[in-house]
Amino acid sequence: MTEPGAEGAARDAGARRSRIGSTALVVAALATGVAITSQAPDTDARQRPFVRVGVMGEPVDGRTFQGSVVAVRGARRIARSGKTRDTGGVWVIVRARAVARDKPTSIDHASVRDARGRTFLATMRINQPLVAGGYVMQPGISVEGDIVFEVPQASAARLTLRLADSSDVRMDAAIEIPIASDGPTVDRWLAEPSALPVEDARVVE
Amino acid sequence: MSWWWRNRWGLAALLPALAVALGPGVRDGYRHHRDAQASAPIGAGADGWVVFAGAHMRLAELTPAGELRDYRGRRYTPPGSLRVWRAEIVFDGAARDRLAICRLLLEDAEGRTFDADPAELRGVRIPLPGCGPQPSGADARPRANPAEYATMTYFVTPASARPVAVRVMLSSALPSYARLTGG
Amino acid sequence: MSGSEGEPSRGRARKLADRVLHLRARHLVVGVGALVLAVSGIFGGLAQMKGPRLYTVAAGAVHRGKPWDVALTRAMVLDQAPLRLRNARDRWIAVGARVEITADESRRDVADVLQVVGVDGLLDKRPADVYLLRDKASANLLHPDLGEDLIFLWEQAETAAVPKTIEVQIFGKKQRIDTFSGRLDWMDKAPRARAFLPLEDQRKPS
Repeated sequence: MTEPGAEGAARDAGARRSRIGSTALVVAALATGVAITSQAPDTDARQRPFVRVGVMGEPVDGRTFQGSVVAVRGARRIARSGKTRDTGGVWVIVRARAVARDKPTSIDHASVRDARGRTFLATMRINQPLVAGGYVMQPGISVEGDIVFEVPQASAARLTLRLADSSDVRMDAAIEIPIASDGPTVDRWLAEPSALPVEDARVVE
Repeated sequence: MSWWWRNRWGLAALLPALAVALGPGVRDGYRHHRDAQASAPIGAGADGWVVFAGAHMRLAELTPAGELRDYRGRRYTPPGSLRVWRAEIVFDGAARDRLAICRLLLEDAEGRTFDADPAELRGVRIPLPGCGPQPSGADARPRANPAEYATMTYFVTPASARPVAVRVMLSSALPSYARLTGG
Repeated sequence: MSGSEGEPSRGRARKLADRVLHLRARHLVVGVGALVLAVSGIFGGLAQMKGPRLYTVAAGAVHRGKPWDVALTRAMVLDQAPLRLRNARDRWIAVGARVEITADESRRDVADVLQVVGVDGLLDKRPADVYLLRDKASANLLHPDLGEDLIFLWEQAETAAVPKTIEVQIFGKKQRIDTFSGRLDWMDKAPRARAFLPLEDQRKPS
């Protein structure tokens, strides 16, 4: 015959084990949730653009347009619309060619990224011939023009160009083309005293 | 009794519940996206007129543009890879107010669209595009019916393009737009 | 006599422990939470948070921070600038500063860099314009690692007095996740330093 005290103690022990077990399950569920959310991509990663990478001279598909880099020049001074602009860094002038696919399109995002991952938007110190509202491309008509950036001298030798048809590149196509030069080339650009002209965009025949 | 049998009704309801939970959001999102695009063309009636946004309009003529000049009076010759087109659109009087801010696009046989007054014609002496009456001297022919007026709009396409229609768009009327053919 | 003096206290402790372990989980959690709060209060956890400290910098000294380093150079009263005055008889309060972007991307929020404090008659707290000293063009975009000498302009009403000294505050921002969009963004614009600059009167004598 069991004693009533022993039965009560056994019930209490069982209740305690159950409570400890429940608490442990809750903690485990929370820990699993934290582990999952810490591994899941953040909003910036989830909304990143779909980047198509190309090389200089070859056209790259940017969904609504195709773009390519024809040449890269640089200078300490540029001339545009009758005004000369100088810089404390380097002017990098990318000659690009682009054609809209099936509706009027403009390149509303133009930036370069340096080796340190810093992003430099196309300058607003001049009216840009091809980007930032400078030119609306019609489908099938290839247009060539300069895109002008202002960057520190130390960044100028290794840059990657990014172009997209929207100023907000989230979850949309963007094209990227490395436009590397080298230190001696950048020095040559800076040594040239005359201002490099930035011309209007023109149709490519 | 197994767990599956005990929870059979809940399990059966899972898929419909998911559809009800996600469906309206997905449907609304798609509709919102679709309504922002021009996807519902309105064509001409039996009388040849298109009724859009409470106004009547029709394409009187769509031809390669004749001689063009710049603001200095010099002849403008487009590059050989391009062709300049001219569209004459006739509107009734109601269009004056109802289509004050419209967008005109040329549509080609491949479904591509081209803006009026493009950058390629910068500096060329052409009237500003629009759906309202243009100043006299804008090339449009005067109408026999004084309630009507005509406008002249210029487009540029690749030389190989074959235009088939002119679109008249109002952002407030999307996804509907007027699709003018003929001319 | 059985047991020592410790036995009754050990028994009381065991009774207390038993009572605690037999509490409902809800009561246990509330109790523990209250205890934690009380303990943190002893160590200053309930004290009011102090506001950010505003450093005072001298003219010409670089105040480093994010997303820009700033060195205030001078303050002037002008009657002409690249931008036209809204009211012809007003004047410009102009502050010169060298600004270098320390963020990793070009920035358009140049008007957020400085504010002038305690000056009567300013038409707007935000500068009416910011222009580059090198070519007088509007400075609406600055780039990382490319310091620029800028002039910030505030329009002061004609009727307000021209102070002898003005307080100029340098603002900074923090890069953190925006709770609305979930994206990393520069937010929490707040003053981080100030300088007191004498105002040079550069107006043409009438």
